[in-house]
Amino acid sequence: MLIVTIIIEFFILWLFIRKNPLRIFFYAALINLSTLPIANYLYQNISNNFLLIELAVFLIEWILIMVLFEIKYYRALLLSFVANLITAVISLLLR
Amino acid sequence: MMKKLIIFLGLALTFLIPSIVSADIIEPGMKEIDYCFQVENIKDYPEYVFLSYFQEPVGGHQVINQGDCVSFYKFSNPTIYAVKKGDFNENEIGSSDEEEKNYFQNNKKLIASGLSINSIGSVKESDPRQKIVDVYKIESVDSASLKISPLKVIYTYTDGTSEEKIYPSPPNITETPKRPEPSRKTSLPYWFSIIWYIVLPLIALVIIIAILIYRRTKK
Repeated sequence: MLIVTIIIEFFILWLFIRKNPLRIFFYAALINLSTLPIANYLYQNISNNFLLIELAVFLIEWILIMVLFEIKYYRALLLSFVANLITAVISLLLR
Repeated sequence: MMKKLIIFLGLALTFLIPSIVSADIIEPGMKEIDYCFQVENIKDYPEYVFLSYFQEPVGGHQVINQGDCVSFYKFSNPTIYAVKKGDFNENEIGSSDEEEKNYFQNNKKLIASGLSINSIGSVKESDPRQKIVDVYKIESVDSASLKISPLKVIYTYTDGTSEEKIYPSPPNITETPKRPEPSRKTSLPYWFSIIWYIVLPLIALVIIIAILIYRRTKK
């Protein structure tokens, strides 16, 4: 699921930020490596409220996208929203 | 000749008994899990007594009351019966296995359900489940039939949390639907958990911070 999430987020980020695909992939990997394991842990051990955890992940990734890609906050918000919506839907479908 | 026969029987038993006993031993890498079932709406049928007969291999029976969670030997195949209160006398069941078996198999006043109850005796050690409770519901009971269907399963995990999963409706009325899977599956081995939950996110965050610091110093 981590690999799938990184790949999906990479494609979404690359669609909007059309340069340096290797850097985009690297940043997508970093963002997901820092959020996905913690989200998994929270879901399995603290709260199985999928929506709440996805919301937290969306907010954290919004900030990380904004600072790593050095883009405006509203662009980062949109990117984080779209990427996390798609990955959330896929993870629900795969369950 | 007799001596040889006795020695042969003794040797045969020596090899047989461990395999019989080993059925009760938890395999390496597995752990025991608690299982029991409840019947949710017994109180809605006050004119009946509901019984569970555990059958082979160890026999035994239990009157099922509202709120009871019936547990049994993991290799048993219990059957739930209903009998009118006026027709039930527990003393008639007898004290020996044979008498008990005879009572449940030949008593015309007992109404058997066709429900298949499957215990789970053990799961993988990494499985986060600690207890499974199947909750059944009496759909109908009359002199000819007892219809009981699975309603939900309650999984309790080793961390104390629990979840309920509703049984799906089976495609065929005579089929017992498959038990819904728990949301939480196998938990990771300890060393992998440390890497996955702590080391990787930490490394990722350190790299992110390093990138940001590098950018600041470059400016």
